[in-house]
Amino acid sequence: MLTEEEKRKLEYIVTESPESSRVQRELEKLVEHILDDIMDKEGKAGEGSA
Amino acid sequence: MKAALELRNIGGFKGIKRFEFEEGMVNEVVAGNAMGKTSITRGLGAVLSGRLTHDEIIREGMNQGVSRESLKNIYEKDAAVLLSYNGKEREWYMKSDGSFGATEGDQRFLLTGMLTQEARSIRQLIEGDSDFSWVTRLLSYAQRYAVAKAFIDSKLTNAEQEVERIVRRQETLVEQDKRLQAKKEEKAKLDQERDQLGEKLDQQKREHIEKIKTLEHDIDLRRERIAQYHGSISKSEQNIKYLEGRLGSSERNLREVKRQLESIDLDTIRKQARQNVPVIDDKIGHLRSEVATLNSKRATFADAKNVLAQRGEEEGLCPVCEVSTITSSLLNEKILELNSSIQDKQGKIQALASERTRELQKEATAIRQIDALNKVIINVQSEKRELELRKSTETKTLGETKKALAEIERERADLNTEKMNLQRETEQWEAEIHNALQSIERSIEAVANEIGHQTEKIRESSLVDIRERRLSFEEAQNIWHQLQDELRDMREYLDQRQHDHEVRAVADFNNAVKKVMTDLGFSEFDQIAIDKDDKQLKVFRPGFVRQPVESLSTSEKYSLAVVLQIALKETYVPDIPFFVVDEVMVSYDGTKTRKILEYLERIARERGLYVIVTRLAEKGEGEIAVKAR
Repeated sequence: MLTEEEKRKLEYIVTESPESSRVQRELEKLVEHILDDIMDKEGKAGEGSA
Repeated sequence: MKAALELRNIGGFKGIKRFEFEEGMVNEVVAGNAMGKTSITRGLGAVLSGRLTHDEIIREGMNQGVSRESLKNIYEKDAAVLLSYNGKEREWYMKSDGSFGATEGDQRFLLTGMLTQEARSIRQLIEGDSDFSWVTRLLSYAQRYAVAKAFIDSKLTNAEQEVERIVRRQETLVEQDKRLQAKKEEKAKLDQERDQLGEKLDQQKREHIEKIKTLEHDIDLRRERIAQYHGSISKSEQNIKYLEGRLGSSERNLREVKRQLESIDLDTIRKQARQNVPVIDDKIGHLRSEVATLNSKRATFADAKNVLAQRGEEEGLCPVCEVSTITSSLLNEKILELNSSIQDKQGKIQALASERTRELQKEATAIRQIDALNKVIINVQSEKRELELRKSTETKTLGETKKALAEIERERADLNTEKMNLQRETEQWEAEIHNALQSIERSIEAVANEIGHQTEKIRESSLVDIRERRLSFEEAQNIWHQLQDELRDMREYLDQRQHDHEVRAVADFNNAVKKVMTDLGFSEFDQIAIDKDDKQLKVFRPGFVRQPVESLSTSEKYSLAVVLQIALKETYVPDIPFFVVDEVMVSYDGTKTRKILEYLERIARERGLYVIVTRLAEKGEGEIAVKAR
């Protein structure tokens, strides 16, 4: 489930990006950010279990 | 406030054309046919839409003559539109090298802000196409959600592809690992082969050393025996030489003895003895006679002496001559002389007796000598025989020793040859084994390199790069799965939001249509609305009787288009303060023209819009001009 923060980010991207390319650019950043978060969590989990 | 529009080489204009529009008013662009009205509306459409990115809107731009090539004056190489309003500057340009650019606009303006004959709504209505799904698809936020959803879908697909790629790489890795194991087995086999060959080499070396040792031992034995034989031969030769010396000596002795033997003439000795003995006997007899005479004289003188002594006289008659006188001392002298003569004679007798004895003994002596010499001969001959026997034995021994020596030397030569052959053979097979070992070593090195290469490859292949981080398959899969979960959640959310917006967009649009109809006093229709489910435009006559769009009259279609276009502008692009209207659109139905223009004036005034209405110039109106009212 998405967090409220993530929903807000999505709403902001969609409503504040009049061009599709901008929507895609912003979403790209968001997805990369999410991926970074996942990797950080995974990295920390890995360090914890190591 | 005014908006300033500058057109350079746009449409029918060559060079720069500038126009100004009043805010909050309807600005009439009045010109004759082919005087540039369309160039103005298209220029505004282009600069306010900005860069067209959506495929469907790009097609719409082409339909409305707002594409790059159709906007540029056909005789010029570049073109530009500049619009400044409310402190904003917008630009659309196309350079001579074909490059194109535009400041950010809203491409939905093409679908909402242009009430012209090329507008999509009127085109569809004229064609009887009631599919207005594009309204929600292209104008509302629903479209943006759809774009976002499509993007998330693509990311989801990417993530799924990444997982699939990892799975494929895992499968490939298994294959690579199999190949690596095969290579390792191959190396182990080669190692074993090398070790076996090494052991074989060691074993053969040991055996070779043993054989060489044995051979050298045998050779040493032969060498010792040869030395012994040489010693024996030398000794035998010395013995033989010694024996030959002894034999020569014996021979000489024998010859000497024989010569001595031959020199003894027993007959002559016997004959001489027979001749000499009587002579000696005569001499002895004669001497013995002389001695007797002398003894008699000496006895006479001794008697005379004794008579004188008895007489006490010193002189007396000579007893011999009995004539002369004689003295005692003379008598003594005479006696002494006689004694001396007697002794002399007896000595001679004794010598003769000895001589006689010798004469008599000469034969015996010769016989004894002969016997002795014969004995010597026998002895010497015996010794000679013995020596010859010894020499013969020694010579035989020497011959045998030499024969044995030759045999031993031949054996030693054979052993040396065998040793050399063995060494040569050993060198040969050692070289062969070394070559084989080197070949195996090269193979092992090649396989080891291959293993190293494959191991490195597997190590590299077993890692996945995500955002400049190297991760294991498990970590990467986990991350991609988590991202998929996130993306699915986002997609679900966006899908829901798209649906919400579609529903709301349709409702908003339908409400706006209703309001515009009311404001314009359109009473020939009970309702004009887009169906929220199938997105079809549905028109209902009074009594809520539905009339197919295609069956509407042309003037009704134009009236409907005006309502729809104003509603679209009001609903979806209220932020852009421009609304471009071709008067033909509003004057098709003469009964409504006034109402529509008044409505436009009102909304322009109330909302601070720049409403631009193109109108065909009447007679006497001259050049293109903008008139605000």
